[in-house]
Amino acid sequence: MSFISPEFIVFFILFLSAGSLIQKFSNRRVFRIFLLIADLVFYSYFDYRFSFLLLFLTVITYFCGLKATRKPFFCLGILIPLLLLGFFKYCNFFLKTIGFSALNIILPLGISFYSFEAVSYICDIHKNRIDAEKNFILFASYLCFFPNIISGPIVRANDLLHQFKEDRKISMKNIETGIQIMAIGYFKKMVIADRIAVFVNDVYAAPKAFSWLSVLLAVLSYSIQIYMDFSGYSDIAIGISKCLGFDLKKNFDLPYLSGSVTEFWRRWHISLSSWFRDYVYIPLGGNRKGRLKQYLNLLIVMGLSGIWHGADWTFLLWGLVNGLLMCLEKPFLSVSERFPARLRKLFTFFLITLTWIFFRAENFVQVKEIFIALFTFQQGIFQPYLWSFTGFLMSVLYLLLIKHPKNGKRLYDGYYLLQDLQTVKGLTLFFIFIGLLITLAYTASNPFVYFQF
Amino acid sequence: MRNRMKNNPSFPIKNILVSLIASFIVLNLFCVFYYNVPVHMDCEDGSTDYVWESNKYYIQMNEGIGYGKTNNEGYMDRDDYRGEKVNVLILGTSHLQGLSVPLNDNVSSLLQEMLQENVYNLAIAGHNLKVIISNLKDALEKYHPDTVVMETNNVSFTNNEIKTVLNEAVPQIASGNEGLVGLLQRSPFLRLAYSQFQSFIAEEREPKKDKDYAGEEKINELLKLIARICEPYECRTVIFYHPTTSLDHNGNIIVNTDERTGIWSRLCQENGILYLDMSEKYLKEYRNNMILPYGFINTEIGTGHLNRHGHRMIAEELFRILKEEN
Repeated sequence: MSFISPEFIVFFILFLSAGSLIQKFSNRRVFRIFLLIADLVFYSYFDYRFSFLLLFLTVITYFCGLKATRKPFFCLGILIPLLLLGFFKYCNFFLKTIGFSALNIILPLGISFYSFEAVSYICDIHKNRIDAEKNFILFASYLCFFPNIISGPIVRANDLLHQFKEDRKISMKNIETGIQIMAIGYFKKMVIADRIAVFVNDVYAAPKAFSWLSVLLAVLSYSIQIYMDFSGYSDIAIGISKCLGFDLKKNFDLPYLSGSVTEFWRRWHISLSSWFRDYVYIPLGGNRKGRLKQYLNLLIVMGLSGIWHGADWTFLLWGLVNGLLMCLEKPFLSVSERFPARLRKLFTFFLITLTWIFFRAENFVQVKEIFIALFTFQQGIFQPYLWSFTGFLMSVLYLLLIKHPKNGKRLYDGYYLLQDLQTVKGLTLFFIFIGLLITLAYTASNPFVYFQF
Repeated sequence: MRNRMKNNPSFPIKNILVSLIASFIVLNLFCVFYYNVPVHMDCEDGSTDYVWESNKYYIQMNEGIGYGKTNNEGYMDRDDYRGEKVNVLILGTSHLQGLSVPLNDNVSSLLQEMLQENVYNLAIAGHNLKVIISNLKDALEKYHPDTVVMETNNVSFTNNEIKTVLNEAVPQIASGNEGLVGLLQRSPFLRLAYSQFQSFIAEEREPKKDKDYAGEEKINELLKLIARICEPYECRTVIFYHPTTSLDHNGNIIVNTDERTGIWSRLCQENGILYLDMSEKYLKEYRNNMILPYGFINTEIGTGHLNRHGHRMIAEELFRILKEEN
């Protein structure tokens, strides 16, 4: 079930109610079993067959983890999740590339995320960063954790497993924080991202119909859309976890305020970029084996990151373009410091926005049409889409609010502007925010962008 | 750096109630400027199934930007009706009602300017050709227009649908201005929240199966009924059809003209009814000016209700055929 479905609201309320009763009248072990059952119910709702695959991977990773200090089990623990990911996600891509017809394979939801979690768990045990978890229920709760299983963030075992062992409860204090973070996520997704998506979809579906100004606006709008969509989802996942008493790390750190593409990738989808850094880039040698090797490693990592996002050549090209930009800017990073920060940030935003064209386009023809429209000043339908400007203004307003919090304003995790719900003022502002969410939300169907990964 | 909240927060009922009331007031104030449409009221004379609250200012920014004031009878016409002669009476759906455009930019206002005659807009949301026909006699009885214009965006009716019209069994749209529902409708915020909720849980309608569609004979019966109703009032009868549009990947317009439009055109002619199909006009406007008749600066392009361009196109075509007939 999607986070923005009525079924999820019902599921979540029931889970919180039952969960808090279990925590009050029973023990931690019973709650963990209840949590695991809820995780599987949530995941099975999409397609019950997916849950067999998830359970299979959980069991394999658990047993390999117990012996992951030894090479055979380490290799098995890495290979199986990657093979499963490769088969379900990339098999058809390779078959089509070499001229064969695609097989009838359904992509299991969230496989890109939980397979990476499984790999990181095995690697961390092998490198003696963590100990293997002997309690199967605990380990399964980590891998199947419903707030992040479908679209991330990718959570490391050493960030979450210990929390399951601690005395963390569903409490009013946690719900007070969590529900506000969720509301921020829902607003970003349902009001800003989904509204902007209407216009972006129109333009990308028929780029030749629109004037270059409309195409430019759509390209800029997509930068806002994808950020609001994906960070909104992460916020909801973080908020849900907080309601349950667990803390997930933030997945975005105001990425469009980056002064370079390299910095952008430290702030965007932090859980994924840090995964690639720790498990691919550093093992390949990182920047320790000379400049040329570093560039090659960057291209490999970004290419893999691109292909992780989607089994298509446009995603690979998107990743490689980002890698290329990171390589090109490396020699100039120290020089660029002389330029005003705002100029660097604006330039970086411009570059990243252009790379999103490859990410959003469905094929190379669309990429070509978008670039032609932009650089030939194509004439066509002029659509000054109101929600693009509104979304941009809302983003700037929120940024100003969090950069300059007034006395009494609470900044959770340096990013979430929360109210004190025990005061009338705080509660009123919260209810107004929810009311605005209800009135302004785009109510037709628009799945999360990262759902497809 | 995380801020700490109280370890055991409490939420007194009094605080919650006061906050709910305060936020309700603020949200309604916001909706007064964002989405504030009048309430449905009963229509005493049967010209339409319901009317809007009369003399009420309205604004709507959910789809396009529409604003204006309903007239003394509760219709979206810029002039009050006080018994004066109506030259052209417009009966239509939410498209011609024009909630998504300023009142002065809807079809009836523009046509009135072009014709320099009294054009009266009885178009109202939720009505379709079936409902229009079921109210036609009462509308003509009250307004005695020289010309009655009926709008439709659909010419594929099923046998059952035509049967309900012929048997005068078309269900009436309730006004809902009484009781708790009537009271709740007064709150612009609750109106919008309800509309959002309905949209959120709505399922896509399945397309009608081919075997359900009415043939020529049934369509002819329907048109004969219209002609029979209009005959005593000696008014010219116009039916105009406006299909939906979309864009293909190459940026060409696709006008989704129903194949039955040819049958309607021929049968209307046989029954002395003027028939107007907007398809060619839509194509021409797009080719010449890259303009689509539907969609707004805050919605999907080419879909939804008629925008200002769409209203202008229809007014121009109606003006053309009415002048040709004269």
